[in-house]
Amino acid sequence: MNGIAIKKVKQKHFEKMVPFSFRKIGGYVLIVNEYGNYLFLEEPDFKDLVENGLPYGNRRLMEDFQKHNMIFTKETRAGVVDKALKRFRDPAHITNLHIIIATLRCNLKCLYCQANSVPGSTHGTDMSIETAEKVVDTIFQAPSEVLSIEFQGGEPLLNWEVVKHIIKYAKEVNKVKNRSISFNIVSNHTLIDDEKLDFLVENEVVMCMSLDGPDYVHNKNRGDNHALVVKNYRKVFDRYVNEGLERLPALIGTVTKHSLPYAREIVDEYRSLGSNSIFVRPPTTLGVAQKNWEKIGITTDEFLEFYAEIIDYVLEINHGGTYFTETFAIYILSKAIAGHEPGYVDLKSPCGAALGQLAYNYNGDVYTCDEARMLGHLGDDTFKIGTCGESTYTDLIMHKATKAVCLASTIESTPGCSMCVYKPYCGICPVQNYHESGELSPNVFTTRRHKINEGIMDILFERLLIPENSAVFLKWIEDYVGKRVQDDNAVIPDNGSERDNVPEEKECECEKSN
Amino acid sequence: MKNGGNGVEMHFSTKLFPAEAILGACHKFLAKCYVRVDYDESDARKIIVQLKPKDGETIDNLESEFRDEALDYSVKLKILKGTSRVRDQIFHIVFNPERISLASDNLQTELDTESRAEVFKLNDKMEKLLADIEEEEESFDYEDDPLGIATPWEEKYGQPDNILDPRQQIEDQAKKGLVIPTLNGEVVES
Amino acid sequence: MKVDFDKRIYKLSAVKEAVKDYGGFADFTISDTGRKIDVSVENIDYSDHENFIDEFCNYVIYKMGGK
Repeated sequence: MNGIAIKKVKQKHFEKMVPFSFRKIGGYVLIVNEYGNYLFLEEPDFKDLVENGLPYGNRRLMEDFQKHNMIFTKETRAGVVDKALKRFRDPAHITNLHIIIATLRCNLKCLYCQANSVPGSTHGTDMSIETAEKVVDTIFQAPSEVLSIEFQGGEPLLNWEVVKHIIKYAKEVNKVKNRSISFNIVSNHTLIDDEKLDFLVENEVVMCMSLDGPDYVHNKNRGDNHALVVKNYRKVFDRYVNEGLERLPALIGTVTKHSLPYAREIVDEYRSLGSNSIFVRPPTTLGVAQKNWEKIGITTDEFLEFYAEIIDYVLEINHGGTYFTETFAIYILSKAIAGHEPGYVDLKSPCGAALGQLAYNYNGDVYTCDEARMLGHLGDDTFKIGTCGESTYTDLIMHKATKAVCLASTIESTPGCSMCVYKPYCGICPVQNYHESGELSPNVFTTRRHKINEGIMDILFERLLIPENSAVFLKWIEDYVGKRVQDDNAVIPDNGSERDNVPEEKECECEKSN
Repeated sequence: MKNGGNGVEMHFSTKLFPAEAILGACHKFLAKCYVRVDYDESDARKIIVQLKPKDGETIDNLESEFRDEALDYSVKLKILKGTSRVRDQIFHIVFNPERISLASDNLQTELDTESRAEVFKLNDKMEKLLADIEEEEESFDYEDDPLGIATPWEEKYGQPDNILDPRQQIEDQAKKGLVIPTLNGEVVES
Repeated sequence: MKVDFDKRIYKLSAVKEAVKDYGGFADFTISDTGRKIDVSVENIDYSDHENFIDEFCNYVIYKMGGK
């Protein structure tokens, strides 16, 4: 086992233990139970555990096992069961993220656009007012108390009247339905003006915009608009700050071949604009990105090297006394360190498709997720599950494609994933798998996502072993979990314990369309 | 399988490496290698694994990588089987039919506040199930438990503030010198 | 060409599934010989027959699933 000579292993050694897996990380053995608690063991301790069973003579280790829910005893069972409940059974947010494609049109031509947007002058790809109302009516059939409506595209601002109408109409409907409702708009921010900004501020619409870094990176990916985007971002950011809005505009970047030499410069660009976080993600192979893969594509190894560079630089910034975070790391580490479920659809089991998010095309067609909708634009409607006005929410959720995607994204039953140490933190995307391999459930070891997620988690857990880093991560997680709990403030009525009331994380996948 | 000259053949004792573990390990190599698994015709206690890298694939230390993976899988299988009883108990609580029934009913229609509460209002039932488990636990051999691990934590040390507190987790690691123990001070500025 | 699978390692269902999925590229005949599952492969519609068999054997392992 990566250099640990194990001689004999008996299954009875584990009969009092909570199911767990392991992986050698940075000279230690990381063990993670099925519900996300983790513990680093020194190699001799791990060897002793698997060869001889629980080390009753080692008080320190036994206390560790007990406190970290690695043993199923009278005093750990409630904690273990509560974590299992959170992990496996949370019907409270079905379905809370609703992605609306107000238009397929876009005024930019980004090299990695996943959305197959059409030129701004194209006709026939705008959502109508009538369809928009049907979409909203469908959204309110979802049982989730928390509803998040996100506008994607295309560039949503090109169909501004419909965006406005959806927000107004949803608020009107909500007077009766009384849900907790929020709005997000994923825009390239080149078309924002005072009238639009007034409306967005008035309705507390959360704004998300793509910025790939300094102009010499951004403009290569997204066209010559860096100066305009930065100018508009500053204007929007300042306005949101002055109005005292809680959720400020967010930036998101996509890593392409053009980004690789500039990890530090990209972080510095974000910092210079007042952002205190960055969200680093690779391009997918959907849509235009596939056609331009030779120009923008990167290997998984290149991405992981870049991610490590970003994380190390971000940690360095924190060590220097400035608070700055990386969002994907927060999603993963909040599960590990705080037992918090961020609800990020890419890291759920089953994935967020249909249960966590639904995507509504400009014509009212409904897909299990936004990736499925993009696949639809490529001519493959495998994951189309209905049409607003014709299908009820129950029709959508009971559709065979919904069931297939849920089954295929259940990590616990996926060969190659079910015994992985990172299982509680990870997620599968059957739509991406289907697109890449033609199969919903290919051999995971051949998928890009497996290599990237495993690599990212190796990077994070290796850094977690370093004292200064773990203190920084802890601060991030405390802030993140604290904010979320405060935001949602939900409590299970029956057992008195606090339960995270977590909606699907806003995707803000700007690069899909803008 | 024709060995192109850069393949390897390995023999595994079924006593230490069950076929299931060998196949599990093979999974990871399917993308890069052609794999054959068979029993040794002359010794039924041995499994033979042949690996041949596919064209264009070069794998350093192929044999040791596979042996590591096979050992990992063997240990993980033992853990999987050894912990199955505990897993079943946990799943019995989490997925018991009454909970599923409640959740399913609510999926059909919109959840109102009252019915939402019902989904989670299972404390009594859960307690009963936990009590059943407690009885089951009596069959555990606590006599081999010099530390009194079966004794509730509260009885031994008092109730910790929050056993899932992130600080607690980090501090546990600190005991082993893996992280700094001084976590109360602000390490960064907002 | 022939290839066999030991039933102590392989499930007949996995072999059958693999044969079904590869059926468009060759003619397969499965026979159960007690301890082994014998698979006869003829009329392979692929230039490198040995490579085809190697890929098929990999696919059987893939179909065995795993944890």
